[in-house]
Amino acid sequence: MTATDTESKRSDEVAITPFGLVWDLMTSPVTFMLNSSVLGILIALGTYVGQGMTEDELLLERTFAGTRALLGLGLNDLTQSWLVWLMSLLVLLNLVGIALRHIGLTPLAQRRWEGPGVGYASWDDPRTIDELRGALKSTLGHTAQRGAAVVSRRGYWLEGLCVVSVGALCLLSALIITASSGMEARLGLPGGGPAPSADAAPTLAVRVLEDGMWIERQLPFTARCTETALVDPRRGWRCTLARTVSGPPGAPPVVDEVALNLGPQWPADAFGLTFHIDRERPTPGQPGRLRIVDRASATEKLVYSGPAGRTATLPDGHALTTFAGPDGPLVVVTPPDAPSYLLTPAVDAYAAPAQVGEAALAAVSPWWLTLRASRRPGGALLWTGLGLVLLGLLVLIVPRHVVVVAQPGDGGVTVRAWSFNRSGAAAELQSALSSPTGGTS
Amino acid sequence: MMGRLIAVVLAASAVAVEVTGSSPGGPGFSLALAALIASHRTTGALASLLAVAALGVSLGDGDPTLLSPMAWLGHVMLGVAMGVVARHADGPTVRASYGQPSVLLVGIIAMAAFTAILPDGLVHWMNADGTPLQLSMTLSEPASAKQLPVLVPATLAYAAPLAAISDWAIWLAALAGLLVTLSALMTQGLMTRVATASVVILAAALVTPAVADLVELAGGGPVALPSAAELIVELGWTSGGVTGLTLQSLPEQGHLTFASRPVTSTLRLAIGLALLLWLWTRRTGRPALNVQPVAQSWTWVGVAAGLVAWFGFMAFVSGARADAVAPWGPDPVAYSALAGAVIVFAAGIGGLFDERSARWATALELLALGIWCCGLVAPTAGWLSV
Repeated sequence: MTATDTESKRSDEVAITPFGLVWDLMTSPVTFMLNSSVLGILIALGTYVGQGMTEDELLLERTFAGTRALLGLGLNDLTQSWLVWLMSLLVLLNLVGIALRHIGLTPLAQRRWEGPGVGYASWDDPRTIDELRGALKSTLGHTAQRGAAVVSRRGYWLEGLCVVSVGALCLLSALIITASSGMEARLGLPGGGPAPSADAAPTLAVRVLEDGMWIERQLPFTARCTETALVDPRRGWRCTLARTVSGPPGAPPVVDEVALNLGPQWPADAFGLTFHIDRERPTPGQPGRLRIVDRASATEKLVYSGPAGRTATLPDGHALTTFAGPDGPLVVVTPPDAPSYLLTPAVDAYAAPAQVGEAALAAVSPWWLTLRASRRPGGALLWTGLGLVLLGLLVLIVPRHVVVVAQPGDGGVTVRAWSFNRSGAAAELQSALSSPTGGTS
Repeated sequence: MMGRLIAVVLAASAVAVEVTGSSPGGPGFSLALAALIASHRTTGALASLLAVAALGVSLGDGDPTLLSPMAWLGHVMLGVAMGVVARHADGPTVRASYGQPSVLLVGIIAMAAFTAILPDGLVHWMNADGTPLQLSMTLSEPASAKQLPVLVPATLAYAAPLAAISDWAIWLAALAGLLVTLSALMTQGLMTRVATASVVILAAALVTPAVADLVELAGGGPVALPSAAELIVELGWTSGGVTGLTLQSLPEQGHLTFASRPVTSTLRLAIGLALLLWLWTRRTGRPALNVQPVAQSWTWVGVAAGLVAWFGFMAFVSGARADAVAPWGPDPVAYSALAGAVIVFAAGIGGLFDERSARWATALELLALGIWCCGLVAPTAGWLSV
């Protein structure tokens, strides 16, 4: 063995390859300890997150976002949590890897991943074209005659290319269909408050995305949304959409009304559109302003509007002092001849108002809501195309590809080999075919 | 030597408080046991911090419920395990304060940031005799004309003394962490001095309010309670969405004990002292370490594996079988016990191979100690789900 060979062997041993990197990472004691730490921290959360608690019970203690995160990770039941199982599996794999590495069973560590990459090799073979055809057939499986040349291939490069092309066509079609017949609109709505009067304009001014630009348009329906926090532990909005459609000839128009329950993660469909909560924010210019209305009469009467801590007196002598609570205003009611007590007026138009004397108190939500209404007819095609592209890429990359063209010449056969997903495959084929037993293995 | 002495004195005091209290044993006893074990033939750095926590938790543990024999055994085992782990980690930790001072310091600062954000705004008010103060009120629903008289514990918002400083502690921790990291990268004298100054300020911001709070709690009171209008709103906040509240008879004043406020001040004091200890060891120079390993590594792994099995059994045993075989489980604290045991097991395995992984193993042991401490104080601090 020469000095150059020794140097080359050493550089091969220390070369970082993707497989070697993953192997080193998975068999490292430090990785094992880090993964175990994450697993331990997850298990420790069982002390602070009640195990077996339902969503409603969690919502009583935590925010909506925190509850959704805990449920999504399954941390309310550690024995069923996918994250705990995933980390346990990783820890187990680390442990097995460490055992294999330190017991000496490390054959996998010596295998090298030589791709992906493009490989090419060309050489002259002294055999005849028929002898070479036999060698190629025994090595690659089958051969085909193209004129004077013999062609043979391994892998599914062509099939993968076809699948990717079909997927790309689907994606392009989805984009064209969505751009030509899709729609996206933003609807700005005040949350809660009195219902719109019957003679209100039947259309809603919105911003619509058309041809890549947001323009002002009108949608042929009305919308009104109220918070559901007090009647439904899942925080969200209940929206009522109404549109007026022309009835049969001679008949009056028909009002088509749809009620939707929307939340930050719960879209709903109506009128051929999908509605999402796009943004929630306090009413501009009114941060911290509390508004209490009296619903006892047919027309709602505003009995309090102002910052927290002030007192308003109802006509029957009840004094109302408001405070900002976690789920809406809190009101301390002081009757004329009785001790004070606390009320939490409903902020939902659908909930029963709190009765104080002759008044029926409800709080008006200070929130402003933006709904996103969208119609994307190319959605299914988009996902199909994406799936096909991913599948095609897998087919292109994973099976080992090599194609060989053998052409008879004056002094023998000229062989050219390509591989489009392994950099060393062509050279390996060359050495396999050039060996004394070439093509028989 | 001084650290070991402090640890033994404080731990013995904690044990005395526990033994003479209404419910001997529990978190304070476990921490005291851990401190006593960890103080044997070590520098006493970790043992003294455990002892501070033990005394604070013992004084603040107002739960008069007696532990079952199995739960008591579980707490004792946890205390022994903590002591052994702390004793094992003590020498490498002190060595790390010289070898990799910035890494250890950033870890302590991260813990300081964690303790700085712990909620401490609510106080359990007490009667003059130390029993919990209760408020008599009526829950009413005017819409359905129903009324229900109830007694609720007087748990009200009451800011700790120097709370404004505590509010700044999280930002001071972030600043100190940044400066320490920068000083480690830049290795300039001026930057090192600035970083050290920021650590001093952070330690002061943790220790001073904590001591002030503990002094106020030790003073006891009486303290005037809020007015009726404020109290009724406060109770509405804490009682979570009741329709109507009417107070029947309002006490004018309440008293404070160590059990009135969660153990946040104790934890902040311990972490602040850890920062001061780090600064002190940097000033005094490298101590003579003569720490004998407590066990061979494979013995260590075996003990840790046994702990995993034991705590895992208690954490995940079914409710139906718990009465028969493990009265301590399923208990929320058992999850922290199991988590720490898993991490210690990983540290035992991972630390077998080379010097680098042994350093990581020490960090894991400190993490396990932190998880065990937090789990032990969780019931006292009110961090458990209701």
